[in-house]
Amino acid sequence: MNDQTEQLRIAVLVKQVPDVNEISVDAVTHYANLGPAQVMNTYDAYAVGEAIGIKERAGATVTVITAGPPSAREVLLRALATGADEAILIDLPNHNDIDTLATARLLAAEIGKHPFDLILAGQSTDDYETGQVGPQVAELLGWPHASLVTHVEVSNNRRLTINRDAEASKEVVETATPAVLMVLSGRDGLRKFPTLRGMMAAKKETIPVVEAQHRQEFQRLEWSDPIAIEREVTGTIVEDVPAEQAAADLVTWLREQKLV
Amino acid sequence: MTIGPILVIGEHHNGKIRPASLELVTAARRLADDNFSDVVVAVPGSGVAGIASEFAVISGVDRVIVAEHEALAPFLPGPWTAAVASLIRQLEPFAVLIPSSITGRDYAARVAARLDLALVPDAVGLSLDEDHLVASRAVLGGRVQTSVRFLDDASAMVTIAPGAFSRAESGTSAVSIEDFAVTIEPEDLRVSLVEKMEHKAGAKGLTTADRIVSGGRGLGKAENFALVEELAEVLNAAVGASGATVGAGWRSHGDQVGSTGHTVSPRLYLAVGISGAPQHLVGISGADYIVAINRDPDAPIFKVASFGIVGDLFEVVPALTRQLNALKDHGRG
Repeated sequence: MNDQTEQLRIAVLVKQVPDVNEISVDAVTHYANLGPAQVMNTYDAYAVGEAIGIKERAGATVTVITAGPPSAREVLLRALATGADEAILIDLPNHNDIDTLATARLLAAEIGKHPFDLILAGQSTDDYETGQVGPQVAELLGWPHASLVTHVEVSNNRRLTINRDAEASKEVVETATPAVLMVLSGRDGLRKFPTLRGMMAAKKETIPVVEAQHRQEFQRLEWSDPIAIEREVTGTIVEDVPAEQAAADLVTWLREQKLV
Repeated sequence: MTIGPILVIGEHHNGKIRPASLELVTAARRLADDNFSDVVVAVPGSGVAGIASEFAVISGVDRVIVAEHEALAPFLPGPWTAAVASLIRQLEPFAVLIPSSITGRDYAARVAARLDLALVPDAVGLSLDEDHLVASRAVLGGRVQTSVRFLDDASAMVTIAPGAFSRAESGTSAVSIEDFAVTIEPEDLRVSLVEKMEHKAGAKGLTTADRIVSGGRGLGKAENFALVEELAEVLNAAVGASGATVGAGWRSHGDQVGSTGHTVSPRLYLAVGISGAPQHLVGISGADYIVAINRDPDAPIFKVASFGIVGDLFEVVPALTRQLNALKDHGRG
């Protein structure tokens, strides 16, 4: 056994997102109202869980980092209540007005100030679903990354053995720390929830707030207002017919295509 | 000022062109016709001369570039980032089109960071507005569309959602093929592939299945997956699940179809109560026929469906299962 003197230092990148089940669409204009950000992004919660799983198995410190408005403090508290040790809030009031690379720059700059060995991030976000921030943070730090991670083991010499889902296959890949992993799910990840006692303790924590630098210079993409998707169909669509008839039409079609 | 080409990254799998790459050629050709540029297909890989010659006869392609390097054999983001970044540096393209494949999304993000370029993922439409590229994409689980305009003059990077464009077909003549020397640094190779298990070729393995019936959030609760299983049974199909149902804990992740699950290519993909988020459509773009049963006529799944039924799955699916069973019995008798 070597290198037991220093614990593994893990940072988890999280984002507060609108609840995607609460989107309302204006019937006339078709503009979508996303509502305020309020919940921890689904995959980020898995990433927090995976980090805490590593902490429990192998010993580690877990720091959660988010770039967002003051309300994003809520997701940091949730992570602390789940078992994270520290939290950092990068103050970014309009976090969806900048592109992912700008977000990645802010996060990489903050990460660079600390001696982290391993960065975990969620595979994708529930709102804008880019999945770009993780690989971009890795690139900016000059570290390797792996996406779609389902499990990670850390060896004593700090090599990572990573299970991931890839193109039509499952893969095991290896890399050295420091590295960035994008978590898809995890045996530990799926199971971690904040405890009541954790929530009470977390509320007493002081979360440092870091100023985002140069935030006005970032804009390189201009987003239109979100609009409900219009239909544009090329296949055969059966609508407004009784279920039995619709099913019969499908059976006929399946036979024509020689699919049954 | 001459305008840079439209660069298409030609992905391939097991020695064959990925169909998504042909959809990119269609998208690229339309842009190139609008701004009088060329369509260049670059093929990174190891031993890909044959694939390059296949691209060279695809209608709409003006040039093919082969970026041959043995380190590109495993389809990993590290080496592919190096190859694609060097191609962009060399060609200074107007736009770079990359398939929204699992690995494509990974290396696209890294390339954008390496070269300081803006990237829009999962575009379903492309247009030009005063010489600036505009990409449209779906967000929030496929319910909402936004368009994104590139504001600067640097190469515009997009990954293209599968199924958004038709596949370009073979033409009559072949265009020229050029070699491109790729430099791959040791830092690009820090992730090593230890083991690769192609998805189980078992009787009902999703990725090798000829037919798949998948269930989505429209099923309402885990127990209702029985409807999907019964239909799959009569069709002798594998059972898949949308990301939403896996996220809700109704099904295990091993059943998940989509960009964060399995990529499948059955002859028949039957989606029950699945709205069709882009991340799901990524996983099913290889299907020959997509059939959708969904209550919501505006569900994006109907856009890619060869056959769709707008209706109550709780009525349609049992009726379908019953009729297929009857057909089967009749066939036996």
